[in-house]
Amino acid sequence: VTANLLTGIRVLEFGGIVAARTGRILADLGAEVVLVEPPGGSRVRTHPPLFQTPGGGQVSALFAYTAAAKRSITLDLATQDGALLLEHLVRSHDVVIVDESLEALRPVGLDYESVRAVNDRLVYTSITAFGTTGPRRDWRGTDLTAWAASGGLMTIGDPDRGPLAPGGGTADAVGALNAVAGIVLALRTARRRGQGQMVDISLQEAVLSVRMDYGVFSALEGAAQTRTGHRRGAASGHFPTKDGMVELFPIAPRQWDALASWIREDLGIEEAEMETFRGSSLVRMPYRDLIDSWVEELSGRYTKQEFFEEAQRRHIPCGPVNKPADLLHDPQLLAVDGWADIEVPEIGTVRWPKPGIRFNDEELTTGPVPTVGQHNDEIYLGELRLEPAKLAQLRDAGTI
Amino acid sequence: MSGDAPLAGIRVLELGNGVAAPVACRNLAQFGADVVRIESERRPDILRVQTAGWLPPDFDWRVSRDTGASLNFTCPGKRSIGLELDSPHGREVFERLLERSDVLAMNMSLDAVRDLRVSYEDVRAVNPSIIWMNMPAFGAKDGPYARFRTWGRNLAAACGVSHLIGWPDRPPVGTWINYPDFVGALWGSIAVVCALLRRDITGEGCEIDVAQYQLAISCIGPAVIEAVLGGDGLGSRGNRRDGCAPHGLYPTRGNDRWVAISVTDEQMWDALCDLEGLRHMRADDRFTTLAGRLANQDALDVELGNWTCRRTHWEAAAYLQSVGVPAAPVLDNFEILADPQLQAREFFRVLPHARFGAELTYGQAIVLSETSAAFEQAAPAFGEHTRAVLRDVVELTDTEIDALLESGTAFDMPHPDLRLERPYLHWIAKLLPEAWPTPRFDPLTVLYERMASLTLATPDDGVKE
Repeated sequence: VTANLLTGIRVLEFGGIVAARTGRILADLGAEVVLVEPPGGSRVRTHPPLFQTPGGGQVSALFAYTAAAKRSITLDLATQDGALLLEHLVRSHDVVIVDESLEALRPVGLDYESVRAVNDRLVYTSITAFGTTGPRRDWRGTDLTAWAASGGLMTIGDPDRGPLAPGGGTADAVGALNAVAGIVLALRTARRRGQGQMVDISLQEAVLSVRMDYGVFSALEGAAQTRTGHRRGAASGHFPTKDGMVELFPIAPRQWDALASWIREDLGIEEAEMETFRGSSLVRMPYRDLIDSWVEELSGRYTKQEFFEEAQRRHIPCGPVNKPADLLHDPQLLAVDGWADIEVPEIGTVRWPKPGIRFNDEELTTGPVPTVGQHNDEIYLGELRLEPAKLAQLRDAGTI
Repeated sequence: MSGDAPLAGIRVLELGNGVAAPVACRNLAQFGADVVRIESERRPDILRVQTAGWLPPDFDWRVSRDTGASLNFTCPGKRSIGLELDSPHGREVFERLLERSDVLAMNMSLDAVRDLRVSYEDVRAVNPSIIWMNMPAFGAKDGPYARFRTWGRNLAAACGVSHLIGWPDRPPVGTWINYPDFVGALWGSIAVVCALLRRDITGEGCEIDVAQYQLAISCIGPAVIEAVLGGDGLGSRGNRRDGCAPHGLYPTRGNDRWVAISVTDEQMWDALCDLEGLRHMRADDRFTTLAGRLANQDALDVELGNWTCRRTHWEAAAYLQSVGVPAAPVLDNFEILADPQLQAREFFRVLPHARFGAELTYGQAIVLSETSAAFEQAAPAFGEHTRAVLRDVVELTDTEIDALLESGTAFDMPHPDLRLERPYLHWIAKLLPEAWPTPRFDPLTVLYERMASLTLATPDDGVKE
């Protein structure tokens, strides 16, 4: 299958949610990803929000989403046998992913030096709050602290309140994407030169890089560093409809002209098409309150989906401010077959969004979500050739 | 470029505009690929003609299409060739470039792909093993939105990201940040390198379709699954997050200064209560369990705010980190330029530029220990490498090149001896650790006098979709 571009690449994943997201992308691309969990199960399995299962258990939405198509084994790295098995695993894999500090990794032999000593062709991937070098290399972080340190929050939010951070794991997601980009680049070097290396991702830098367009350049060039709520200029930003908001951004002169015609046609306000308002978006700034009042009256006549489609018909850049739940009915996602049905233990089939990337018209494929240690036999007996008696002994000792 | 670079020997043709394809290709350029941007005078990259606050409003873009500072984020290390693809000879030159390239990457509307005859079928007929990538907002697959026009922020709204940014008692404020463009760009880089890994073995090219909309949705997949399972899909919650308390931005000393605190497990809470001035919280019945802290978040935030507001955002973060609590100062755009962590990792750099002498550029968030990214050049000036590419890659003679330039099929950097200078150059030199190159060029006033003496055609509107 063309879309399984990383077929044959073997990945070991340890740690938390950013490692989990990184492993998931590699699995989507066809790599064989083994999630190595402590015997009690990965902490990502209890990451909120949790959902009650019919059987009385709980399932983490984040875990289910990130664990698809992975195999799960358990291993207590703090034991002597655990350390030995880790060496075997490291020797037979191409990529290791970790997302913890050196302080946590060194005692269990998961730091770069230890891993490289076992397999020097390996691509070792570290994703941390601030990277593995520099004065803040030992600082811990989350999605929130990554946004905070990125310089981006000061201009997000309402003028009368403090800054707002995007939720939804949006910082973790770009950290994972940078990590995957680093991994595939390093894999090409590993193949051509037989040389492994470390991929060192800082979440601060990853988020900084996705906000270039409102970053230091705009500040240095003189853009105001203030929070302006949900409006970002005349006829620009969020506008209320019957059932929620739409985001409107008619920046090109002809896009404003199209909006002005729409205001005239629907509301009978001929003044909207006045020469005064035509041209670049800067021209309209002094008349912002007036223009916004017209746009609000216009948008209030439609649902957000109706307004979005009509705006697009008129070639005006616009998007509905969708809730994640709205996406379930999104006509585009339905038309392009944008949903996959994934088997989640104790819950059954769950729909979720497919990654929107296709190779030679083929989509990325995914697989079921594993239970804790579901693939212990397959990997320890089948691949590491452990004696069944030894495996039983390790199980009894709580190592596996 | 070092022969060890992951993409040494790979040539990428870029028909990019804005963020998605240019940033995808920047990552390829910095890791060793020869990225040749094909630029059009009629339809310049929107970031090239982005208005800078210090430019006079009547600035004539034909003098220089190099003033957009953010091009130094999207295009460092690339070459720029001026070539009009839809002219008869332009097509010929383009096809010869294609024969000598490994990848063609673009972010074009489906109509533009058809009109410029750069579809996978068109291109494969010239170079059968080409890796072809387009990144239209909604992908190439037919759907009701396939021809919709969007900017990154409209897409950020549609894909559900904007809804996640807001206070519970108010409608979402969304963001200016064009999040989906950057997600698309990263996936684009990943996809091309994966396709190269496969081509290394099979020799086959492929067609890559990147739908930014769906990829951005997949970034907030857990919120979507929550909605599928009957939750509210992580609605607007301010800076609080499910199952975590305390969690938010807390006021610190100074005007509009904040510190982020993100306690996500019981050990962190326990550690926080070890700090001088916060120990009384451990004994507070309301806060002993996570359930208690979640139920009393407002009171918790007041207690913690009372501690943070007596410190600077840096001090508060450092104290919290000293006991292992995730925290960070909320930095602004000027503070990040002087951030010791980013400086230690050499994130911001000053690189040579043909028009400005030197420009500020961002570094790479993809950090590799052995084959690190190359930082040799800031963004290319418009048409800076036209002659070099036509001579070395297309293998034309000087006479042939002159004919292409004269007929308007190709163009090179206008007024190559004209130098510009960023007005904030001296100021920023104080923030950056390395010495900013001494300015060698005329001050702006001299520049505008020289501009006035040039006879130029009427500028176009410089705005495109």
